[in-house]
Amino acid sequence: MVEEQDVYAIGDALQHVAVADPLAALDFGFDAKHLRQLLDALPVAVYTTDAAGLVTYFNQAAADLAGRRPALGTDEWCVTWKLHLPDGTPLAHSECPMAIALTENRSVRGVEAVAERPDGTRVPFMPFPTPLRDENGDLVGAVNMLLDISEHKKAERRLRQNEAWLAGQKEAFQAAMNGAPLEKSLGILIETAMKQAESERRCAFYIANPEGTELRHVVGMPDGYVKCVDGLKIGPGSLPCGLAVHRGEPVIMPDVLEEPVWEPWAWLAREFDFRGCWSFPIETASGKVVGSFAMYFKEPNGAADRDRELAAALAHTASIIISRHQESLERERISQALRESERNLAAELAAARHLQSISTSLIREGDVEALYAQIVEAAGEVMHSDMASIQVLDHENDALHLIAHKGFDAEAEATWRWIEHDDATSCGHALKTKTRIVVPDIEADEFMACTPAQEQYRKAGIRAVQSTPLVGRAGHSLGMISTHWRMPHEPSERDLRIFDVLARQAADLIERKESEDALQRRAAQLRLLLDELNHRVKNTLATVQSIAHQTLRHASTMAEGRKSLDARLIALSRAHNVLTREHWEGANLRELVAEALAAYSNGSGPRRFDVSGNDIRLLPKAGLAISMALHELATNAVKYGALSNENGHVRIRWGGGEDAQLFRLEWSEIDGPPIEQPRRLGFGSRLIKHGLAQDLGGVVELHFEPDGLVFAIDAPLKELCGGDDKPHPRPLDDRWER
Amino acid sequence: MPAAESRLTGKRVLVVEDEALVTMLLEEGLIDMGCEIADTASRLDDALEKANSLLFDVAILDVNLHGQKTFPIAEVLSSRGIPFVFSTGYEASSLPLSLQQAPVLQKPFQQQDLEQALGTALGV
Repeated sequence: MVEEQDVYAIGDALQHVAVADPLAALDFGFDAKHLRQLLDALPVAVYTTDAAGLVTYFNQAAADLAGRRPALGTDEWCVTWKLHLPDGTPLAHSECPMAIALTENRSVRGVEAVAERPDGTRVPFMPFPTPLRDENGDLVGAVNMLLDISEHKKAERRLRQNEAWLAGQKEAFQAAMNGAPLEKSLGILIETAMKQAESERRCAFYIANPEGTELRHVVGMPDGYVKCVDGLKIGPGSLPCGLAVHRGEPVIMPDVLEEPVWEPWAWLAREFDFRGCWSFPIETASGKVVGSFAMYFKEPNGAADRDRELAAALAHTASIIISRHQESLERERISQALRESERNLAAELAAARHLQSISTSLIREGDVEALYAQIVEAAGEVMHSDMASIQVLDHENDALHLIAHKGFDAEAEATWRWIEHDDATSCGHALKTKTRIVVPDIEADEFMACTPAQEQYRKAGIRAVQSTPLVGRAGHSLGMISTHWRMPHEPSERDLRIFDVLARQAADLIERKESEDALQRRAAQLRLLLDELNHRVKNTLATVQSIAHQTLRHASTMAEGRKSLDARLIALSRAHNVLTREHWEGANLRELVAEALAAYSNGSGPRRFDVSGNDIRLLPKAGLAISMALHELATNAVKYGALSNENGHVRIRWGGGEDAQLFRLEWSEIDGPPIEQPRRLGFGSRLIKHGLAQDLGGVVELHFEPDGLVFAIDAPLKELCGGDDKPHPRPLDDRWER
Repeated sequence: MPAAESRLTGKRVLVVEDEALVTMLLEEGLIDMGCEIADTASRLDDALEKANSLLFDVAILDVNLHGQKTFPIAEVLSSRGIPFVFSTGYEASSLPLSLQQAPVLQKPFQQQDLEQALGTALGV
């Protein structure tokens, strides 16, 4: 390689040779003949012209550089075919540095030009034109040396490329450090690579998913292509990118149309107009393959060292950027998870406190309604819902009754006040299945589709709903607690776990309320029962008092009084027996008559009573009054009437009176001894005449006929039997005679 | 038993009572005290009519007539300025507040209870 200073020295020597200065030439140790030989052999291009610029001499190196053999004495100014300035502008021979040196009679140094050979190739060179003068100093010609600087130029370009590459790399790193997305930082690398590319191509980056099963496009390719290859599987049968990541080594396909593996994708190559496809794995420092770098060439292309080098540099830089990016993603993910768990902990703590405060209230508070409201409020908070409700199962109707809610409008409240067991709502369904029902989106739920319930939810602005059955400690259904969201929502396991604690408390509250209510009802019933019992006992005592008082008052002797009193109290007691058997709800007249007459019809004597009448149920009071009257009549008959002799007997009949609303009962004594009207009404007679009439609200007839006593009472059926819906007694038969 | 002269002699009494035996006991007790029985009633409508129309000095009202309360009768009597006595097997506290001033005859009763209750009602 000839250095620049050598060239100048040779130039100076040539000047001396040209002016035929033997002394000076001798100084260099050459004579003219030797000099000529030396010039011919020089590896640098040298030529001379006369003062007019016609070429007089050129050496072989000059012919090689020019790619032609110039015509001596004809070619003007330069040995080259065509000339250009370094920037490519054509340069006329008459304006070339040699022409300037001749016309201006001066050496020209430090310029560059480009020679174009007849075959079109171009050679950058540096000319050294120097005028030649005779001893008088007159211009006689010029000598030029052309120094080929293509290697120098190439090195210079490579330097510039390296600088550009370093700058691009730096820019990409900076972008990555500043937190730019991968598209941006890797995009800068691609831009840098494309600027340096000598042939038409595309570059792209792909990144592997964390599982290492798929590749995702990051940057470089148009959307249409990305749509086709995104999610490309990493594996042995994959396209170059997937294959390169799988193998961990570059996959070079000079022409994809020649590759069998590309067969199914050939259309892609045609559509996106590429043939060569190279893929380089991107590895982290630890050797993990995290993605790939791909280059697509318009023309078939095998990998050149230079391209491999570039790809390796790109892949290396990209690996640093991607590693950093993934680390920062991981850091972000960890810190986010940390924040999330802190938030969850705080929320859980708040929920636990809330639940605890409700528990405390449940123990202390008497106001159940306020507690329901509190539970509904807490349900909304725990589940992050817009609405919440609590329903109690009404066992009589087998339906859910809304007792508290949060967030329902008036219409929703009215709609859901009662929910039937078989309703298509989530709570109806949860009640039926006894399990929690979650509908994350009522619009996407098959079970809900086109039901009235779906329409109701829409109207209420509800999109998602959850219903949890409230179950008693013994496992029976108590009600339902539900939460509702305006947007589609699927409650998390954590939320549901806390919610279940709340549901337990709600169930306990309802259960407690129900047993308290039942207890209160029982206590009230008992109080009522005791009051009634007290009243009855007092009234009975008053009755007994009256009987005792009047019996004793009218008795002739103490013994007679005691006997009458005993008999009356026993009669009263027997009537009570009948009524008690019927729980004091009423008494069958036939039974009462049988009971009242039992004491008088025993023994082996002839039948003393002829009883006829249908079954008729009397009110307790009427039953008592009739029983007592029958007792008095029978006692009187035994003392003075039909039962006082051997043959007498009594006919007792009852049935409907003249009017369907009337009842008539008759007692007539037959075949007794003759009787007469008593002078004074005894207690018995008064009891029959006034007492019975008063108690039955009817009219009593009592006739002391000579051939036997006749008694009859006509009373409204209503007074005897209560309501009108009782069966009417059969009419008394016509044979009956007063 | 001849009626001895007493503070209640000649007082006309309306007896409202649904239990015939108790009515009879009251009647006898009243007559023994020298009272006259203005009338008796065992049904609410009948009793109301009599309370409105008859002339008498004092009434004995059974609180419960066949399951109906006699408070409307008490009101009629109050408006007529006629004193009355409640007779009942219930506690006195089951009376409405406005009527708790009236003397109460607890069943069963003694003759002197009846006399005292009527005396209180009549202010004699």
